[in-house]
Amino acid sequence: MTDECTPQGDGHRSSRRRFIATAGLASTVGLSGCLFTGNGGQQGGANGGAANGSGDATTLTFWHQESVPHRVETFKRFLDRFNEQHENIEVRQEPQNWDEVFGKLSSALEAGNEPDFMFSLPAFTMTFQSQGDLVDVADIVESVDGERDLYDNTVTPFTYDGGTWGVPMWDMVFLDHFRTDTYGNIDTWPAENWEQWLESAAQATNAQEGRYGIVLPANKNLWTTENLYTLMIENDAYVYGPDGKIMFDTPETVETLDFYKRMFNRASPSEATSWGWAEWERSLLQGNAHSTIGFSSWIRSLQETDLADSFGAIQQPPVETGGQSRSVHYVNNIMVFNEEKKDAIRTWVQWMHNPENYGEWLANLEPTLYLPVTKAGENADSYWNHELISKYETMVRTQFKALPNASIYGFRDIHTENDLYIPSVGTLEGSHVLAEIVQQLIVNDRSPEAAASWGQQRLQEVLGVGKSEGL
Amino acid sequence: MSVNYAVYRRLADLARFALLAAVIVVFLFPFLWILKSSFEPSSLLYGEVTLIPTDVTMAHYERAIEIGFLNAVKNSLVVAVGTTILTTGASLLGAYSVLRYTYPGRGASARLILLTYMFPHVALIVPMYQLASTLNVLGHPVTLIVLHSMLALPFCLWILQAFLEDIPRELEEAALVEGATELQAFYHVTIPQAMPGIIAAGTFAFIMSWGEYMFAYVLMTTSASHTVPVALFQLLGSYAVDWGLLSAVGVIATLPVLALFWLMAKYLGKGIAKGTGAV
Repeated sequence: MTDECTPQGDGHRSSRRRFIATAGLASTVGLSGCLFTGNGGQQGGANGGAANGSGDATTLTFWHQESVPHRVETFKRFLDRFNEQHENIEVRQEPQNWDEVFGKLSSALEAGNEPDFMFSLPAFTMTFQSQGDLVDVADIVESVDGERDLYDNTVTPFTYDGGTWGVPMWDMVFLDHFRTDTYGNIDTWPAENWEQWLESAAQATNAQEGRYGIVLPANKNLWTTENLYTLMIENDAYVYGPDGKIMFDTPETVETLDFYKRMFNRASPSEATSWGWAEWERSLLQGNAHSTIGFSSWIRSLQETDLADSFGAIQQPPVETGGQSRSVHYVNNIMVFNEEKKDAIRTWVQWMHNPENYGEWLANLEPTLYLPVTKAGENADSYWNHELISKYETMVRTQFKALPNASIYGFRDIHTENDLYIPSVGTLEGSHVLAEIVQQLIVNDRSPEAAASWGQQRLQEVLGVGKSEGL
Repeated sequence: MSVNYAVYRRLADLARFALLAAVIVVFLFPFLWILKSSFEPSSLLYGEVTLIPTDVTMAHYERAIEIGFLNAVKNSLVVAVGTTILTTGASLLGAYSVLRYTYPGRGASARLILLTYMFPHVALIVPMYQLASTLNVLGHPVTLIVLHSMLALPFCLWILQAFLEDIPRELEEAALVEGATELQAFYHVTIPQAMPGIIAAGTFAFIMSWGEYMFAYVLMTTSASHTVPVALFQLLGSYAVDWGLLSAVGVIATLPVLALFWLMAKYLGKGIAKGTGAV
């Protein structure tokens, strides 16, 4: 019968069937093997991870978004060291991605399967605090402060609604990085005000030779949001007013947008309207862009080029001569979900903040990007001994000088003074509305006034925080 | 006249060849660029752009192995092969049932299955996570196999229905007259005839599973259980990307799919064309 129905190439078919059957069997056996080895998904949270079977030992599972291999390895090195020194606590890391972690954490919380604690940022922390998911960590913060002297503005973004919701772990701050070989020859450099800054960047630009005085973005992404906001901070322009209502369309914002547009048109590559972080880094490392405002995150990659000795950094030039340099900073914290394991978490946090571990940890995690948040950490030899930190000591010292005057969305002077609680900051950061406003300004060529007015409407629409109805 | 015609044909062939070559170069260029970058030392990646690397290194591949990327490849293979087997099996039986048997709700159920293909997957994340958590199968490859099969099934069912429709019922009936059971007729007559469709459906399921990111990220909760897309995306960290390493893992991640396409291209083209009604 088979021969009648499949007269041609039956031998091939048989061997193919045999192959498929074998592959199927092998897969089944493989999968069965996985049944006994694959399930490592148990997190901390309400459902488990309390003990590791020895009776007294506590297992802590934490998430962080430092997923690139060298950072995961650095975490691992310190976790191994900690676990070795603490018989009763075992800490495990689970690296995540910033882009998708919100959905994953929400799902995990819904299922009671969340990690015991997690690395976070102020806006992200406030979002989960406002949902009632976080444990007050005021006592842990106090203990770290008592032992290591935490900088005030690293704690401020986590202190609201009657508690402290994040333990500061490291900080990052915007500086103005520039090519010493180009800017060193410009009379108006270092710029003392925005006009000199614009003039210097324009002088450093030669578009025909593919050389740009600065790389300013105008794409809809976080990088553009940060670039606009750091200038807004410097010029006393706000998203939220002192009463928590949207206060974007102000003369200061218009002035900032005007500066942004003039700087972009005179000194930035026009393709930056579609650039993301990767293109920005590449333009610096390939020697096309000769300055940038941003984090000192690319110094490690810079060592792969012949420009390693060609960059310096200053604080962002102030708006007016004699004014105060200010910029955006991002303090990274841990937020705690599991009250029952708080003692073990405190032990781990205190150990990480011990200057011997802390300095070495941050310096290796991402040299010149992650800054200690304690006085003890700033003075730790283990931090300054790192090869790149020591090589770029002036740059790093400039970051420490910039930090006291740095701030972030929803936690600016007028907000903290008024003890404001603005849970929509998470939406503000995630929605990229500020970047959209830059696109209106540059890509759609709106005037600064029109872009500010458009931004006011858009922010009210996206954040649901009206001009009149308040929070 | 005939000489002119021959010249004309030769020119036309040449033009067609040139056009095809240009299209192939355009489509292959990104892959070739990644391939080139994966063998270039990091210092050259930031230097002057060249088509041919002036220096070659295996360091990025060594690093990919060092960070355990091959474990992600293994996980992906387990999940993709499992998905392929489950999906092709289920869709073959489903398509056969819809075409060969009559029962209440037959047409409606076939359409309903297709409707699930249009359902936004993102809306399923939280319920799927909760279900997997309740069943204690988070981080388990079988969870992803079942979920990927669910995602691939409607399209595979569609492809196989189109294939089975073309197999004359008389062939099966002849087998039954010869004394074969229904199962034997299905195994010895229907399956061999539908093989190009089965291979096309299987290839589709494999490729879909191999590249799926969202559910793999959310449901595979531990690093050890990450699949290729998740492990690859983990390399794009905040404020740091190792482009050489990323290129190397990009090449490794593409190879199985490329090999599958190479082996199955004939069946896949035929299957998709038939499934979409192009032939």
